[in-house]
Amino acid sequence: MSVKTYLTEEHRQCDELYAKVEKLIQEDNWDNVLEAFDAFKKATLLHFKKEEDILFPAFEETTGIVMGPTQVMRMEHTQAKELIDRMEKAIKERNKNTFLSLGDTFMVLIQQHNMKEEQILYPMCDQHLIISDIIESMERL
Amino acid sequence: MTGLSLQQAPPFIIVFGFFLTACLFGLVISLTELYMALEHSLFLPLLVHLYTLGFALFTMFGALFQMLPVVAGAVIKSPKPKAFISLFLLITGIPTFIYSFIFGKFMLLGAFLTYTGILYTSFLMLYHLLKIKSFMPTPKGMKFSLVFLLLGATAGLCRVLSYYGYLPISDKVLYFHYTSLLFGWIGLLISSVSFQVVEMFFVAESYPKHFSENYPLLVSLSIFLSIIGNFFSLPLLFLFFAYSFLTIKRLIARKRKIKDYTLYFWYLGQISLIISLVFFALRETLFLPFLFFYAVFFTSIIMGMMYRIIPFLVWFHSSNEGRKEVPLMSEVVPPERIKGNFYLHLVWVLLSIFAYILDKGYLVPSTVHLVSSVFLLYNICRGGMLYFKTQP
Repeated sequence: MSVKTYLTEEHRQCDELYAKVEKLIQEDNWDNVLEAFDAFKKATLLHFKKEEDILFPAFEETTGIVMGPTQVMRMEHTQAKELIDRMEKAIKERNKNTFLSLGDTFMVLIQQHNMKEEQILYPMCDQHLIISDIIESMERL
Repeated sequence: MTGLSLQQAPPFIIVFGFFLTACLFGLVISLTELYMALEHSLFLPLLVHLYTLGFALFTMFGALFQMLPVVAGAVIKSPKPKAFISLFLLITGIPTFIYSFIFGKFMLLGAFLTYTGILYTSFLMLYHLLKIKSFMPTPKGMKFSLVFLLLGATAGLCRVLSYYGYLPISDKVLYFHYTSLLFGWIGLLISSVSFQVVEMFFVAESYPKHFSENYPLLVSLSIFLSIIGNFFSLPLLFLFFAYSFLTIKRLIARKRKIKDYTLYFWYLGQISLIISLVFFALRETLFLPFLFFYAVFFTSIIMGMMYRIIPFLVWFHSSNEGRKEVPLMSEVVPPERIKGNFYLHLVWVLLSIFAYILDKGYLVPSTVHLVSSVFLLYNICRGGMLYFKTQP
């Protein structure tokens, strides 16, 4: 399996988990929202961790590119984490409009972020890194 | 591959400049329609070029400046002066060309300036795209569509030269001009971008791999095949019908079920595309309805995309620049205003159909279109200004 296939699959899983949260909020099903949101948050943060702790350092070490794509991806992770925190706060306050507004911004940010990773960064990683070791390390997290 | 960096995201002013110009042309389009309705006249070449050169070309170039680094990793270094040259040539060329349709003067000058602008921008983008080894459907489709823009614009210039007697007049050249620009440039670019954004923005199923990967080449071949005659345009129609069918299917089955009026623009655009394809098959007698529905197709999708791109870019650039009060997307253009613009756009479409069937009452849809165009201009302008207002 390639890094691209492995991590792209995670992107899709996170998208689906987010869509579930949005659906529950749309239906005003607040009792189940927090649980669904936790699943989404956990999966997303774990995905970020896999990239930040394993993939990006390996890429930087192998290619010597430190201030390039991985730096941009880290910065976008920070922006996404900030939005996730604000979304969680909105859920706790049961503020539907604020959540949906934050969620929409989050989704566009994360989609263009995923696009860059899937089209540019992951293929570069597949080209330069020993993939089996990387995937194994990410699996252990 | 040079890799991504923050500098590679083009400055907001570039995309905003192109989009704002397109919206201003949208206003000119609706004013022209209103004038024609008052005069009980229709001058099709003028309207068609306002829609395609004024509205579609500017938005698509603006969007490409933004998408090239994101989708293909193709980075245009020092984009500001390059975008300025492109805007300058097009802003001087296209109005001159449009002027020549009304007053019969300066057509050659307008055509050359417009052609130079298209040539410059297309080569600039193609140069950067061709340097990138990407076999993904979206960058591939962008390359093909830019080539069709060049070919179609060249055919258009040949047509102008034939008016001046420098070249013989040929109906085949005219056919190739509008087919390559409508289907090869506008249609192929929209469909190629859909392969990426429909799945991502709406959390929908991805398009069949073989379809999206081979689509640009198949569309290209079918455009050339269609030159032979009416019957041979069937593969072209089938391809666009398949694209539209697959898109609607994916939008209906999307996982994000939130009420989103940009999605309604997509539905309207896709349904209009299907209707326009039927009329294209009957174009010898129903060319005007084909053009109308095809225009509804691309204007709807473009409006839906604009209402996502501008709010996101305002948030994205403000956030990257570390500003204190960063407006969320819904604060840049509130969903209620997108909803309002969608219904205005829809009412314009429906009233135009009634006016066409009854062959009277064009003044009402033209007025609605004027209101819709002003509203779009207001929303994009006000949304974009938020970025500049929050600058330290």
